[in-house]
Amino acid sequence: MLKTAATLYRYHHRILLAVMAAGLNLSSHANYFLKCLQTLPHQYTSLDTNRLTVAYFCVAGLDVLGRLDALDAPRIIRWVYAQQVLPTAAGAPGGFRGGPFLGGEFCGRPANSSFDSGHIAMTYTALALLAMLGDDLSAVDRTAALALVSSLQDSSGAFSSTAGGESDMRFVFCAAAICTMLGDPGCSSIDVDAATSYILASQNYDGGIGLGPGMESHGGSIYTAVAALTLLGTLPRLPRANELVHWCIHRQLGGYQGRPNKDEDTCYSFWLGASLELLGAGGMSDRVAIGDFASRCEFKHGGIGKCAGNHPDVLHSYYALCGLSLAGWEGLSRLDARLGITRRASISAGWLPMPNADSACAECDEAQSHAMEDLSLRHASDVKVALEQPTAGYAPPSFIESSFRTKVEYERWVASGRALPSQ
Amino acid sequence: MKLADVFSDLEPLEQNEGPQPVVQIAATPQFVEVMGYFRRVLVNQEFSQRALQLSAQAIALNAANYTAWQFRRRCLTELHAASSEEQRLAAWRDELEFCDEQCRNNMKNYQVWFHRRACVEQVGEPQKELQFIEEILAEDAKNYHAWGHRQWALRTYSLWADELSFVERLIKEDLRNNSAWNQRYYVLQHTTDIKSPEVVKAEIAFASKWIEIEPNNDSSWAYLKGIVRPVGYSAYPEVQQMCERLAAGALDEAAGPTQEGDASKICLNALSLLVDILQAQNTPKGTARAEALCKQLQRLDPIRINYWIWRAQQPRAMG
Ligand SMILES: [Zn+2]
Repeated sequence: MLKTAATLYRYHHRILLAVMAAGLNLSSHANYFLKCLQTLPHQYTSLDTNRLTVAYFCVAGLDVLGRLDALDAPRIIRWVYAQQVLPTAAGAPGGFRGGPFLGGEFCGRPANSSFDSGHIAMTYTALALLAMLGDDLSAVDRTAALALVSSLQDSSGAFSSTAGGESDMRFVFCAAAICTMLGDPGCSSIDVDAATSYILASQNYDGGIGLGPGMESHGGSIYTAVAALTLLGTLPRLPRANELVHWCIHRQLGGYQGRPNKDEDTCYSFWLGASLELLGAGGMSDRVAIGDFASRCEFKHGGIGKCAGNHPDVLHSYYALCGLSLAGWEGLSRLDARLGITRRASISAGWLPMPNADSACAECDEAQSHAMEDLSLRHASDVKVALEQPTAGYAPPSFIESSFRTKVEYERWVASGRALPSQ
Repeated sequence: MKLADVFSDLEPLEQNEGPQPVVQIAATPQFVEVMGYFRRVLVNQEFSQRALQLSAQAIALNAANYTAWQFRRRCLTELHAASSEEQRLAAWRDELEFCDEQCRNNMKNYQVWFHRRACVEQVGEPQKELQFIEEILAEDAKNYHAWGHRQWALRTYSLWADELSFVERLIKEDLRNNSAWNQRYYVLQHTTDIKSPEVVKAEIAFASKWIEIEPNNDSSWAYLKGIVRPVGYSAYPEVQQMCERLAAGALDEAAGPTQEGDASKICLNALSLLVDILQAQNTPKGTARAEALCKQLQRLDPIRINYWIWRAQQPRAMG
């Protein structure tokens, strides 16, 4: 009986997947992301300082669903640039803040106090958002953003969230991702050896990796560690990579759990699925079981929760879809596991090389179509949703308005994220 | 007293959403009022008692407001720049108490735990921390932040003395508590030579005891493997003997097909470690037997079939 199932699985998983994929209500999830991108109820005030991250999950989710066409991209690009912290002097740190929660005019602007500074995770999500939406990052102050990143590295090799904030593995990943995204592929802005040492020192007796040296192995910290090593170019230095593969693959119960003896949780199909892919073991998961678990966590009005019966949230909705994409499901864009965005976005931003459609792939005869898939958005015909336009009009504050002759000029300036022109 | 009266001299600073907000949060009037004054206080760099209280209100509304936590640290430092040592200590003790409550309310929040560290550094009474973490762990025995904080206190202030017995108690309470197993390794790593034969022997005995009680427990098996692998399996034959014995259910049925109902009784962890041990022997016989076990695991552990195919092909993978 078991043998039959295994054989069937091995040779016919593609057929099974096609059947499974039809079970997930993808259009309801697109609607869910669009809704969250608009307004969240007051119970979500704990996200007030991380709104960029919420936007990232929604836009990235739509990208995986191939539904970026439903968005007003310039509107979101403008909003993202408004969160940019412009440097107060040459060489001063910049980056992005998590939202407009510190007040000040709506535009990329210098800090309005010593408490108003760039946040490394928000900077990563801002750059990812801009790339997904097709912006060329020309209005990002690259020097200032990289200055922020290098200023946040501490003597252990790890990075802090903000100046004076907590430091751990998450922000090592953010640092490596920002360097890659800002065209510093060797990460010369940071101390690569120190960052690598910190990651290697966090590998545990069980082969897994914790959030810092000595801390328990955890699916989330493993992803940030492995993705960081990949981006830093130092993954070959990881001494016990096969033990790490063993740890990761043993977290699959059906869905993945984040630590031994914990419950399954949809987000780990991304954290661990992506880690396995980066470790060269992407095909090892049981794809059907991942699909099964995700469909049990699906909410009928859209969104996916962390487990069955739980309310959906944007993080789990996005990572569950990513987990399905990594597992080879049809109908979802393929991922750049290093950066947590679609391959399409990475290729168009120049962070991944253009796939060579002519080169024949030994294992699959679909190299050509995969290449095309990477470059184009698929438009599922059953999804028809458009972002509602807000009804309230907006007038820029008069002191800003007076600096511009026309509204177009003003909007262009807002989108540019540059400082206010001198009067 | 109303907020508007306390801050009657200040103009609230509005949040500017721009022409078309994204991910707008429908804030309550209270949230808008508190944040309006808080933004103004930040811009004015006002380090006062009323500002400190205001930041507590901002935190009550959003404990993930990293700026509010950062402000509190700065505010306390500035407020007591000229205070006596006694006054300064008293203020930070109050802050630690504030933190107690916040940690309990927001157990999974990064900022509050980081802030707690700063308070302990100021107050310098780390002993209390172990007691506090124990209370948190009583509610959530696998809380990642609490364990991280505990490790920090242990190593920063060398509080190792009773930690091993504390950990053992937690394992007794729940032998599947992987955080406690990790902590055991952490303590030994910092207080002993973890590769010495005495420690290895003792830890094999410790792990084996819990494996005998519950053979299907990833935590105890991973611990056993983590202790023995670095020093070599060959020096400790008792590990292989235990694996052979606990895998016997699977080995017996090698001739015939397993009944589906028996699958749960078979100790996959024992079979898996046996593969590691046999492959590490690096002999034709060991490798051949490991390959046969991998084939068996493909059937017994079908969710990892691809992994076991790979392990059969890579006899040096764990070398
Ligand atoms: Zn999760």
